[in-house]
Amino acid sequence: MSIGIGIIGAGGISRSHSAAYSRLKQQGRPISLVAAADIAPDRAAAHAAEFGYQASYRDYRALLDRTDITAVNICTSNRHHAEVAIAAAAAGKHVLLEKPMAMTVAEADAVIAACRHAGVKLMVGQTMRFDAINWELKELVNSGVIGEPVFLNDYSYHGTFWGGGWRGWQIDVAQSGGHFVHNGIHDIDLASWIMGASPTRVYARGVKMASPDLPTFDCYQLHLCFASGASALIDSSYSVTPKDMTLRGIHLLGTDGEAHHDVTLDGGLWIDGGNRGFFLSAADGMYAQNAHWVDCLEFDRDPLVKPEQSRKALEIAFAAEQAAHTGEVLSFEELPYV
Amino acid sequence: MSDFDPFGVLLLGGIRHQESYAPYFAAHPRLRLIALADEPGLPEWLRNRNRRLSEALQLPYHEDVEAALVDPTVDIVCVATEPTRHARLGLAAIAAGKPAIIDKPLATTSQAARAIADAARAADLPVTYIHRLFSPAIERARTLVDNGTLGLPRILHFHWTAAGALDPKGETAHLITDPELSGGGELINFLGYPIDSLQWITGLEIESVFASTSHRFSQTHRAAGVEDFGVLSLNLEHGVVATIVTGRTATRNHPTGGLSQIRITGSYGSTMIEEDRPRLDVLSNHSAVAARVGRGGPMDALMGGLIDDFLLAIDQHRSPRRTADDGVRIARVIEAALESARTGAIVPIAPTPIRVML
Repeated sequence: MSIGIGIIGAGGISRSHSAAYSRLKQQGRPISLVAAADIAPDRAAAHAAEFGYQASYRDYRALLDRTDITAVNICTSNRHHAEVAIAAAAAGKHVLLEKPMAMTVAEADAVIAACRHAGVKLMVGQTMRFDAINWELKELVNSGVIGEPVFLNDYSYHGTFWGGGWRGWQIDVAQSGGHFVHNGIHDIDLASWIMGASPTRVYARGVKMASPDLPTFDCYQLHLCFASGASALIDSSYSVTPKDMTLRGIHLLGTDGEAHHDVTLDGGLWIDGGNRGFFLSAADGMYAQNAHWVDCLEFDRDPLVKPEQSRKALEIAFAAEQAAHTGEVLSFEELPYV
Repeated sequence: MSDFDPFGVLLLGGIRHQESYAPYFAAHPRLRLIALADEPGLPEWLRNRNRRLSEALQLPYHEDVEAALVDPTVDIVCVATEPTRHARLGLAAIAAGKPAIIDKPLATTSQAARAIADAARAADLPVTYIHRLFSPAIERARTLVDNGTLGLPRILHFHWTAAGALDPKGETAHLITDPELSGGGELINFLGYPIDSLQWITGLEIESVFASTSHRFSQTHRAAGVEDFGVLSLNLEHGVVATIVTGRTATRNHPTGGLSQIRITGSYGSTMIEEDRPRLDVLSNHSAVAARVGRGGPMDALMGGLIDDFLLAIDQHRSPRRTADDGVRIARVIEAALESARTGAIVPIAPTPIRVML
């Protein structure tokens, strides 16, 4: 059996997906890279050539028509996620969908319903769960070594602004959902996964560091309260000084101990003008995620990231983006992460 | 008080941190310890603790506060008792015309703290409380703001925790968890440190707070119905946001006994600072100590700085770095945080009428 892979959207993140698949293929996993699609045909062709896909298309529907494609990775811009995922499900393809899964909760529901109806697997790329340190942290919680989790502090400060200046789609709320949705979805999902349930109360504050005229926030502080009595604080900044700085870390306090990681000695490269380089703790997340996805496809397993969990994180992220403007505390139904 | 004679220090109460503070007074070239005094009719365990410390310091122990305060050789008073008696003894010192250093928290309610601040102003006396603003890490953060390196602080995070739950059989446990003695849980106990640091670094008032608290680390706190841990989201003037984590965590073998860490994102730069630095991490087959902090840690610097500053305040007839008005400000934030944790709401904090030395 060979699992035929198609990739839809050949922008930045698709390169990580395809690089992971190339490595898995090299390792002898039963996958074949069938086709890449992008509205920019040159980009689709270049992506196919670089990673060894057999064909490339301008229209993703042509890719979905291929019977030798088993599963697709959807890496389009956020606003096309739902439309493409629903079409892929209708074509009988398993769906690995980049985060955030949709641009509204109703769209997310439609994606989940479409995949269920078609009997295909759906996983949203909550890649941070698969980062080496976060995976280890969850193992630590599961093993009971530090007891039950009581407090999580997840912080990431980036001195690299999203690309494109004022044209950048990430700062356009209509296209990205805003910082709480586009990036915060990772942190909300990670905190919920480690705590074992989604938060029931959320207080969100945003700061516009780069310019007061930004349509979304570029920095936020999220305060999550869980029904268990546990709390989490999440700091995420995309325009800190010095430029090119990356400082990330995670600190978990449990009833019998604690664990703390930061990237200070993690292979960052500090050079004139700032630091560059990808930190070890996040280097293999995409590979681990896609390896897990291939396992699910090959052995017919349920993905670790449940669609309902990603939907819940999306619901919280959208509400947080709004609440950061209005200053209210949000309440949510708890979703156990089992 | 002359420029040449050392100032006499009266210790009011000999529990909580008095044991730690007294050696700094004793060692200071401009100070000498006079006596330890406390109120009459105290429980036996408290009298024993007071006696034990007075004997260790070779000081007389008086069970009459008023008499001890009228001693003309007493120039300064240091109050360190159960927090619920801080205000009463602090007011007694002020009434006797003595400058006072009061253990943290200054008082367990904002009303009591206000009474101290009003009395100090009326008597024109310097009054301060134990704070950490002279610790090298906090000084450094303030310097980075003062010299413009960080630009405008915009986003801040403070982590101030002690590690290791209290031993329920330990004699100090109830001093922290029994509201009759402590006034409440760990927010009253610890929150003043990070709030002070936040305001000292930013120079801004806190306008509102959202807080969540829990007592999942310590059985002693749980049994007493008080929080051992709190998480705060604070809104300051000019849209500045901050978070604070404080309390007493479960880890018994923490290498430095706790963590005091600050992260500041400014408009021109960022910094991350830990109080227990410079630190040497140690692995040894001959010692369980896993970390050593240079020159004994920040305690020497912060107590030395606090005492020198207080003496200068007396000499120059100016305010110390932290006054009772700052203690009022802290008490108001603590009360708002506890209300927020109880109600789940964002609690506004009215501007402080007196804005000094932020």
